[in-house]
This record gives sequence, C-alpha cells and structure tokens, in this order.
Amino acid sequence: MTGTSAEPGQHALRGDGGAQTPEDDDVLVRRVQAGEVSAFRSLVERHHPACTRYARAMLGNSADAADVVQETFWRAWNALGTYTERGSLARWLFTILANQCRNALAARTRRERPLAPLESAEQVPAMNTAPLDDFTEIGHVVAALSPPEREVLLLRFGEGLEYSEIAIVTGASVSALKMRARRAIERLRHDLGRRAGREGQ
Amino acid sequence: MIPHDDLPGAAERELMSHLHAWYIKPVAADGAVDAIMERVRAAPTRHLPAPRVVSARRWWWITGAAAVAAIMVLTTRATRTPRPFQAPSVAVRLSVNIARAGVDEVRVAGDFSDWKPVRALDRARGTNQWTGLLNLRPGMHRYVLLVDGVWQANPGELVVSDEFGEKNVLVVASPP
Repeated sequence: MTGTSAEPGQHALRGDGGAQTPEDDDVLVRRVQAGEVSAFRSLVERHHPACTRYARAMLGNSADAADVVQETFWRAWNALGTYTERGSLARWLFTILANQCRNALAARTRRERPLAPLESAEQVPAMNTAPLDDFTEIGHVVAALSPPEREVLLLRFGEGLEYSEIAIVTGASVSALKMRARRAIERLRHDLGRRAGREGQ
Repeated sequence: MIPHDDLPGAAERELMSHLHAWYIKPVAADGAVDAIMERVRAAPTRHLPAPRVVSARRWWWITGAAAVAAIMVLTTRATRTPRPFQAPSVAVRLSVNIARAGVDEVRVAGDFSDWKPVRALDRARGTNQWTGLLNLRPGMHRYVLLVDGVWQANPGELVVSDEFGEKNVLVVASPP
C-alpha cells in the first residue's frame, strides 16, 4: 500500500514545490507513450495530491473526491496516446478533473432533486452541497458558493493559477472569471460576517 | 504563497490567505495510487499509438516549406498591416439615485476596468443623487455598482443578465 498526501505550498501546474517540472512530465509522458506503465505511476504519484486536494474542496467529501480523481487518471491513461502538448500536463489533467467534478456535482443535484414540491419552507435544505468532512467556518461558506464561483476561487487562490490558465481549464473568458472571483469573494465575506453575527448572539 | 495583485484590500487578502490555508490542508489518500494503477494494469494498452517515424528526407521538405511560409507571412504583414486606429475615449456621465439612507460610498466596476471597482461617484449635497464621469472607449459596456461593498445594478437603467445570471447595466459610449 502506498500512502500519499498533499504537500502544503506545492503548486499543481508549475511544479514549484520541489523537484517536479513540466519538462520532467514530458519525459514521463514520452516513456508512457512508449509503453512503460511504471512511468504512468510516477505521473500519478506526482499529480495525485493536488488533484485530490482540488476535488475534495470542490465536492465537499473525500469519498466522492477519490472516485473523481481515479476517473480522471483513468481518462488520462486512455487519452495519453494522443497527448501532444508540451509542458502543460498538469493543466491538461486539471481540465479533465474540473470537468469530472462538474459532472459529479450535476449528478448529485439530479439525485437530490425532490420528486414533489416541498410543502413548507422548513423542509428546504440550507445548502445544495454535501457537508464537508472537516467542519471549519471557511469550509462551510466555500461549500455554499455556486460551483462556478467555488471553481474559480479554488483554482486562483488555492492552486495559485493565473486567470489565463483558469480560462483554459474551465473554458470561460478571463473577464468573466475575474468578475466571478470578485463576486465570490464578496459573498464569502458576507456569509462569514453573517455566521459570525449569528454566533455572537 | 497566494496571488495578491488582484485583491483590492487587506481584508480580501486575509480572507484568501485563510482560504489557501484551509485548501492546502494535507489529504490522506492511502492506497489511492495503487487502486488507479490496478485499474490501469488490468486494461489493454493498445490505445497507445506506435511512435511515428518521419524519414530524414521528409523532415527536409517540412522544414523548407515552413521556412518559406514564415517568410511569406512576415513580409506580407510588414507591408500590409496598417497601424491600429485608436478611437478617442468618450466621457459618459453616470447618475444614480440610491434611496437607502446612510450610504457612504458608491463605486463602479465594469468590463472597462476588468471588473475592478475603480471610480467613486460623488453625492450631490443633501440629496440621494450620486454622479460621476467615466472615460470609455466608444461602444457598448457593462457595469455594476458597489454600494458600500454590495454589488447591485443601477436602478432605472437597462439591466441585462450575463451567462451566469448576474445582472449588469448596459451603457453605450457614443462619440460626439
């Protein structure tokens, strides 16, 4: 059994957290494309912590995150034969991952949609996302954001990506992403203030 | 280290540092890599294409054709590309009536400012009317107001929803 964990400060897309670089990724990709399965294991070990970190924060629980990350690497394995970009494997992986997270959230919404209209306001759930594994204030308010807002905040201020990189990962324009980030920050501040006020009473 | 250049204030920077600290908390994933590799090893690897071999003679052709194309493009652009025309900006007067009492600050953010709140409107003494001038390039622009830190559209103006359902105000800057 191999244990893996995310290392604080390690950057998913630029490899500035240690020895990993996009060039190393390219070497490993070429070895995978030549049929070396062990090289794919090195790629998984290198990018698994960042992918898990993002998926857990997006989906709100570790079990769903593990499924989505496994599916992401499975799709990457199947598509690596046609991968021709250079120096951007992590961004390529995050594009698959972000898409898988969106699919998982959409599937969850479909599962949780009530069949009949709710009768009273008390039955309306407070959040449309599952509770986070770790109960922190910031975790609660991040979970209450809409998925597109959560996506841009995590990629920008969690992973530290440039807006131009997020635009490639998400398919949204830079201008729209900046506006979404601003509104998400305002909403976070507002929700945190409201929670603090409620606890103060 | 999280990026700070697009965060306007210390409160936002502190909040995003807090988010970053929560986000990078180590994630235990015992056995996850093994599970992925188990799935990979069980699958056929026929999807991996055989490496393409390009003969040296073909490389010469490709390199030569690319060089000729690059020279043609560069010479065409140098002779034909006109200098881009810069239309002079137009001063557009914004006027907004905020019915709520006790408002301290009204700012504007729009596509012309990359959605950063940039312009404080001034209140006419003793009224709820806030006005200000924006220098915009001719054309159609979208903006929203930030009233004491709360995003809202300008009441009484043409409001449109973007692809995410957020309401923005349309303003047209027409040359005189």
